[in-house]
Amino acid sequence: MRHLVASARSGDRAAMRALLTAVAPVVARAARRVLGRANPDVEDVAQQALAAFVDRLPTFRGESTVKHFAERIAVYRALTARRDAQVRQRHVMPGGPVDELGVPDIAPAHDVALAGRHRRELLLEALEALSSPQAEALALHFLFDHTIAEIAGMMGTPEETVRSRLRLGKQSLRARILRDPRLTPLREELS
Amino acid sequence: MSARACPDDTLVRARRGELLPEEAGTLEAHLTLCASCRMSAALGRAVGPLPPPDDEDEALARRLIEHQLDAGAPSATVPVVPFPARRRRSPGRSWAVAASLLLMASAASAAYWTVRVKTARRAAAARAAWTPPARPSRTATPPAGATTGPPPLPLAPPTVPARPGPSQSRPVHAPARATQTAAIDPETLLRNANEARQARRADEAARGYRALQARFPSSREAVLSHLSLGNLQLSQGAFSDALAQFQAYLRLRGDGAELAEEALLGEARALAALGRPAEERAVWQSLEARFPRSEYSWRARERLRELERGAGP
Repeated sequence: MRHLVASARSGDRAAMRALLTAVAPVVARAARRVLGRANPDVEDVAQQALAAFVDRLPTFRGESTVKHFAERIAVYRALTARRDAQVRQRHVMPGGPVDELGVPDIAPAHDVALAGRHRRELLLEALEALSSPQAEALALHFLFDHTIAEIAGMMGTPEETVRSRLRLGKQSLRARILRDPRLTPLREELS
Repeated sequence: MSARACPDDTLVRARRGELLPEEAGTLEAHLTLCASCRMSAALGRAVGPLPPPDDEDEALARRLIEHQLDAGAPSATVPVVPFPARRRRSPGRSWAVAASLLLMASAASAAYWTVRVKTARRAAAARAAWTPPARPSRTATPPAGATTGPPPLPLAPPTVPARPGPSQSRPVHAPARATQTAAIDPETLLRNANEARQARRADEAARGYRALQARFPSSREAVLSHLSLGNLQLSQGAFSDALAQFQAYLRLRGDGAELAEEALLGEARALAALGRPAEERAVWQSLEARFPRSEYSWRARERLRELERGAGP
């Protein structure tokens, strides 16, 4: 994969196509995992993430795999899109229906799969209250099952920093889950 | 394994199904002692396993690839500019591209224009505007190899017949100026460009906005198009061009104009992507000071904190 990066950087169109073919499914999955499968913004966000991947390719230093590099960009983009949607929800349409902004319905779950999506959506909602680095680290860790070393490589930070972000993020998350009645299903999961 | 050395990675490997039996036993023992790890385990259960890419991911991925490649190669017959030459090379911060901004600008634009009553004459003019060839060719015959699909927007004030009809099949000559004005007006050009953008025909939309700005530079539509084109270019990674568009909007409409917040937001994001933190900081500060109740002031404060820390992508 590294040789593809070098070739793509030098303007090789075939290499760029091969590189995009390798990372695009990862980007698509990341956007859908964070935003929700039915979110109408998924394609736009994924497109922007892939464009950002191409844009930032010259800065890729090999601290992570190329797929992880692309995935981190997609996760960051998707988290930012969620925050933006929530900001609009609060300021533009206070009291308006959440699903107008593409956030999946969080009505009571009727089956296991729906319950899983419901809890995941609540967790993502809780992440929005955290700082960006903490939310990103938690998302990569819990939503994408990345180890601390992998996250450190993806974020370009020391492992100890990632560990600290996870620890502080979990503390904040726990406090939020305990005080927010909308997050009751998560509280039950934690108890 | 003590509570002070939490096995975060062991939990991840357990979710991945990679744990050895003896490791599973050790982890269970640790979980009885460590509330933090119990929470991690519970969160892992709550979000569920990470599925492998499925068919929908693959389909989306194919669309993403084609779109991305098309964005840099308007035509298969046009020599492709090498990747590094058409992309910004500096390691600037390009994370803050505006998915939501584009959506908001589109919504605001649509809301503004859809309230205007469209006369039948203008509707006819709009249809006429789409009928002629976009290229400055002297004939209406499509070039060899032309593909079917929606016609591109005119790159320049087009040479159009007064009305569609048989005249399309004969050579098209420049009509009287009055005829052009009747057929193409700022509102039509803006609407066509917006429709092209919404249909993800980005290059066509960009050409439409530029044609509008060139043809009717002082019209309200042309001024508004600076914001639309800026957002479009921002989403395509053309940060310098986007910056120029946002600054043009603010220069023409003033900081107190409608959508000035969006223009400032776009300007700040373009500067961030270009790696110009001092100017970016000034714009965020301006946005926060002038629009303290804006929905973007929260974003401004957060970004200013990041800039103070020298952190964030």
